[in-house]
Amino acid sequence: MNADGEHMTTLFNHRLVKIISLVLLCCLVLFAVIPFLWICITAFKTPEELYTATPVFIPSNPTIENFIYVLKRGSFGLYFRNSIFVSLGTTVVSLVVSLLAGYGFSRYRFPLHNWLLFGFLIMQMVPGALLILPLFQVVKTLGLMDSIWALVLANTTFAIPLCTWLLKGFFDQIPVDLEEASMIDGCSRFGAMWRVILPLAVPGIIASAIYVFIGSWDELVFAITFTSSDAVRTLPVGLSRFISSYEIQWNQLSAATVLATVPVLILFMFIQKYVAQGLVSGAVKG
Amino acid sequence: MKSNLHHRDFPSSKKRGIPLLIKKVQQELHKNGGGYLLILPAGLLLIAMMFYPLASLVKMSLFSIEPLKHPDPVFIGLGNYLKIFKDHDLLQTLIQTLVWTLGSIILQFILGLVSALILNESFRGRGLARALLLIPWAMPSVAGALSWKWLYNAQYGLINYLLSSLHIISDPINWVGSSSTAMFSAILTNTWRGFPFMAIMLLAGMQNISKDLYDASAVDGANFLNQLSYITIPLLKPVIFVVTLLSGIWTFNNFSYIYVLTGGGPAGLTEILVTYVYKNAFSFFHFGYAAALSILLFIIVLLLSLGYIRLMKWSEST
Repeated sequence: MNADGEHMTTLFNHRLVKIISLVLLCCLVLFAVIPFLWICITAFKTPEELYTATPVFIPSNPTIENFIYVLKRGSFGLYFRNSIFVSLGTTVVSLVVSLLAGYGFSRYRFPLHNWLLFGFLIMQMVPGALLILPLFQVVKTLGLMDSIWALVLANTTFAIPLCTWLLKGFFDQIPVDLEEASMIDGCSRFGAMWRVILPLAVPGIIASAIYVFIGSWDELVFAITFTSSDAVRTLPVGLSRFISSYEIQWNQLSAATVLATVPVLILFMFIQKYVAQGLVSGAVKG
Repeated sequence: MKSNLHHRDFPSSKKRGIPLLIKKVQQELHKNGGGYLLILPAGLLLIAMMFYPLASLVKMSLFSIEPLKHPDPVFIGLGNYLKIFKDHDLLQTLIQTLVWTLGSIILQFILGLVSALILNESFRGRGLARALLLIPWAMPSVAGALSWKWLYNAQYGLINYLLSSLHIISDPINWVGSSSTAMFSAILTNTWRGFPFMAIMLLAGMQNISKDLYDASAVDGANFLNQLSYITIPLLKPVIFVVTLLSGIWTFNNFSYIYVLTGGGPAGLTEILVTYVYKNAFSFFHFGYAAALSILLFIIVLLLSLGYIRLMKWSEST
């Protein structure tokens, strides 16, 4: 990183170009931010200020009525809890499984190694939405219909390929000598992985965790298909059902949208720097 | 080294033939078999939840499964696949899928690259800009799509208001509802969602490029465009490849945006393959046909991705 305050390329050498660049960046940031900003503003509006010919940009008497309505009405709190459970569960299970697989692919050269790795990569291209029909049968056979575990299981499966690939990339970057040295010192292979390798792979683990968490927080198709009762519904399903109910107003819908977004945003603020670092070094060098 | 020693220890090993082979496999397994154990949990999950469903999808595609017409599946061989060629909506859907995927990737890439190039320089507020750029990616798809639906709203939407107060349009546009703008609106929304991911990934890739290269080229009188085309882009190739491939697969397989934003309408004009298959299965209950379509779709993704990987390898070697 060029933290020394000097410029990287010659882009900023001309004053005019620099100004144009920064204005352009401002536009892009606005493009990125405005939809969320506008939905936030809408969420605090009273019904009177909602449908006006000239949009109200700053609500004159902001209200939290909409948030209260949403939380009370659609068992939103419940959806929230379900989403957190599904996302955390998926993250933990996928990480454990992918850590093992990533380590296996990185450190062992067993027969069919490359073919199996290739198979994992191909699975990344399988669209979840299309496997719904047969997956429905699998979930039914396992007796997991309308259970939150069906979502954890399905999300985990679809997260494994990329996760394994990323983590393998990270393990590849850690010199084998390190664990060999610790194994000579009396560590078991597992001990070496646990005490020596895992701590070094933390950035990769965090990057993968973010990817899995966001993916399952976002997941809609499985959740729509495998769950039917309110008790196990997740946020995206709750939100998409809100849209189709007639009496709901845009300010209430906005409040629901804000509520569904805020947890991920908070998570992002803390771990922002790992996102790209992890993905790039894991994916490209791996 | 190790295998040489091994041969010296067992000089007669060549004669033993098959037993030796078994022994070798055993040794190999002893040394590397732990690898199988490690990938076993992941492998089992993939087999149960992906491979098996894929296989039963292939089987389903050979049957006519129409619960509305007849209760039991009827074997019809390749009948469903033949039907694909007669499906007029499908051709339109394929073209739309192409427009949707390519349009989204190209726009995402351009906006992402521009953002990353600027963010790669140092200026005040850089950290803030980078954090704000991530918001679209952090928003759940349904939430993002909803936000845009509100912006696009024909009567009360912000976009129509801004455009008409700037006198760019005179009548409000029904962005997601009219045939001429629906696809554009969907692509714009997907671009919004995807460009920050590209930007952040490309930026991370750029920061791995040594500053010395830029300094040396600047001494030689290179301007920004020279540096871009001779240093940045060539060195970024692997990252560009990964992000465009990932984003392409995600866009091709994307369900939530179209589902929430347009539902495939108006008149099927924003229908993409994934939503089309879903509709065939769960709205029309043509399960067998939907299965055949799914297989087709998977093959398309696979071939396109493999072709793209080939192309990239080829361009790296030349």
